[in-house]
Amino acid sequence: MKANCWEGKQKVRVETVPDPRILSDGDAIVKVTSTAICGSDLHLYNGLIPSMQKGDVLGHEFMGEVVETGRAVKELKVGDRVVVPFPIACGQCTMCHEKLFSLCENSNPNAWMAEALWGHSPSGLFGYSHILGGFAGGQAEYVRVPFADVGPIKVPNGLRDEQVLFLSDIFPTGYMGAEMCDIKPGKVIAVWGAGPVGQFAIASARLLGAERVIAIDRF
Amino acid sequence: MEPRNDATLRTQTKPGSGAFDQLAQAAPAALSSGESGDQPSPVRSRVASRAANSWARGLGLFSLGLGAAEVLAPTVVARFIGVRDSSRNRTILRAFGAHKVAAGVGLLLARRRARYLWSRVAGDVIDLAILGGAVAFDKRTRTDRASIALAAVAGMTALDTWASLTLTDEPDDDGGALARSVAGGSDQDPSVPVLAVVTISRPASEVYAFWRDFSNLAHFMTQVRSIDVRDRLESHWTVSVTGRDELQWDAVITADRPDQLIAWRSVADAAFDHVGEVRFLTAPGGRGTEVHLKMNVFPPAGRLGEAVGKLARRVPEQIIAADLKRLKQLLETGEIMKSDASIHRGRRPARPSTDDEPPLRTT
Repeated sequence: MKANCWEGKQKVRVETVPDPRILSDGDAIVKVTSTAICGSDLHLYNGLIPSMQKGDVLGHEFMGEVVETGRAVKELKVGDRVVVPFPIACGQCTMCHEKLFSLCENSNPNAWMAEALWGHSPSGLFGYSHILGGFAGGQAEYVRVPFADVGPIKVPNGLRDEQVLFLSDIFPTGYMGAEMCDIKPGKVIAVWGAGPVGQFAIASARLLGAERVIAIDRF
Repeated sequence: MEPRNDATLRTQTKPGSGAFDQLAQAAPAALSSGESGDQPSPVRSRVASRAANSWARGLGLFSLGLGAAEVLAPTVVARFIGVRDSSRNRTILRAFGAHKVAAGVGLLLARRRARYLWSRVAGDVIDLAILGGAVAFDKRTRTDRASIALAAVAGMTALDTWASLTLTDEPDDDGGALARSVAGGSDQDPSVPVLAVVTISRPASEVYAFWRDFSNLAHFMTQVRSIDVRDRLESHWTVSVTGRDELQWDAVITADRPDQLIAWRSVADAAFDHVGEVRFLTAPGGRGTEVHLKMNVFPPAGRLGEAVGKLARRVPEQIIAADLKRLKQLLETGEIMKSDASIHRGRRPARPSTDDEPPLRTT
C-alpha cells in the first residue's frame, strides 16, 4: 500500500509499504477513505519531536471502512464506516473506565520513554513518534486499529466524510476548550486564534449555547 | 535443563546460606532497610567515627573541587590567595591540584579512608610551608589575602589531622561515600535495594494467583527464558538480559501468604544473588491491587563489583518496572501491548511489516 512517511526534518515522502495485518484478536483493519493533517504533525515535520525514525508512517486523523476484524471484536463488522480517534485506548484500565482515554495506562508499549521525558506517559497515539508507541499512522491506505471495540466511532448513513472526519482529533480539541468555559445562556465567549482549532472552538461555543462568540486573530 | 556448574568464586559473606530454616530466618532481616547486626568499634567511639566519616566525605568533595580549580585555573587561584601569578607558582599550584584531585577521589570511593586523609595532611603541611615562604620571602605576595589563605590551610590541616587520627584504627569501611549515597544501604548491609510498584485493576486474589503460578511469569518478565518449578517451594530460573548472556540459579520460597505476599531468595552460590518479595495490597478507592515488588540484590564479590552494583541499581529497577507494566497489561487487557514498531526487537520504523512475528497473546 501507499503511505506518507517521515524521512527526516522537513522531508516526507509517499512510499510503498506492506499492508497491515491483524496482530491481536482485538484489532481491526480500516481502509482509509479520508485523512487529515494536524497542526501537531508540523512538530514532527520540523523535527521537533524526538524518537522519530526514517520510514515512520504519519497521520492520526483518519476514517474509513472496516475491512477485517480480529476474532474478539464485537462492536464492529466488516463494512462498517468508522472515524478513528487519535488516542489508542484499552477500555480496561482505571483511566479508560473514567473515560480519560488519552491517559490510557496500557496502550503505550514505550511508556518508559515517555516517563523518562515527561514523568508520566499518556496513551499510545497513531503515527506520532516512538515515545508515543511507534504505531503506524493514518496517512495511508490501510491502518491496523488496536482495541477496535473501544475507540472507533460508527458513522450513520447519510453523513459525508467531511462532516465527521474531524471527530478524530481537531473537533474534540476545540470542543474541550469551549467546554472549559462552562458556557451558560447569555455568555459571551472570546476565542483567540481563528485557525482550524479556533474555528472548532467557535463552533463548539455556539453549540454549547453562547450568546455571542468573538473570534480574534491578527491576520 | 541441567544447572550450570557455576565456577564463580563467592568471596562475599552474606547472612544465611544452606539449610532452609536459616534462609527463612535470614530473609526478613536482609529485607529490612536497617542494619542487620551490631559491630562494636574496637578503638574509637561510634559517634566520633561517624562524624569523621561524614567529614571525610565532605573533605573528599572539597579536595576534588579545589584541586580541579588549581589544575584548570591556576592563575585565578593564585590571585585569589594572594601569591604572585608567575609560571613557577602556577606549576606548583597545578601539581598540588593534581594531588588534591587524587586524594579527593580516593576519599570518595575508597574503603581505607585514613590513608587518603593522611595524604591530605601531608599536602596541607607542604601548602603551609610554601604559602608561608611566599609571604615571608616574595615581596609581590599580597599579604592580606595570603594570610587568610594561610589561616584557612592551617584550619584544614587541623581538620584533616583529626579525621585521620579518628579513622586510622577503624576496620574497613564498607564502601565509599558516593556508592553509599546512591545505594542508600546501611553500614553493614552491602545489598542494593530495588523497588517497583504498579496498580492493577483486578482483585488481589486474582493477581496473587496469577503470580503464584510461576508458569505465568515468563510471559511478562521478558528477561526470563524459563522457570522450572521443582516442587511447592523450589524453582530453577534461566534468565537472559541481553539475549546473548544467560544466568541460571535456584530459588526457594521463604514466605507465602495467599492474596498478600510471596517472598523468596536465591539458594547459596546463585549467579543472581538476591532476596525478594512481592506484596499484593488493596489499592484505595476500588482501584484494584497495588503490587509492590522489592528485591535486595547482593552485587558480585569485590569492591569494584559493589560500587558498580550500587551505581547501576537503576537498570534492574527499570527492568522490573517494565515487567510490572506488562503484568498490568496482561491482566487488564489480556495481552502485552505491542505497536507496529515495538513488536520487533531493536530499532524498526513505525510501519507494518511482513515479518513473521508471534501473535499477541489473548487470554
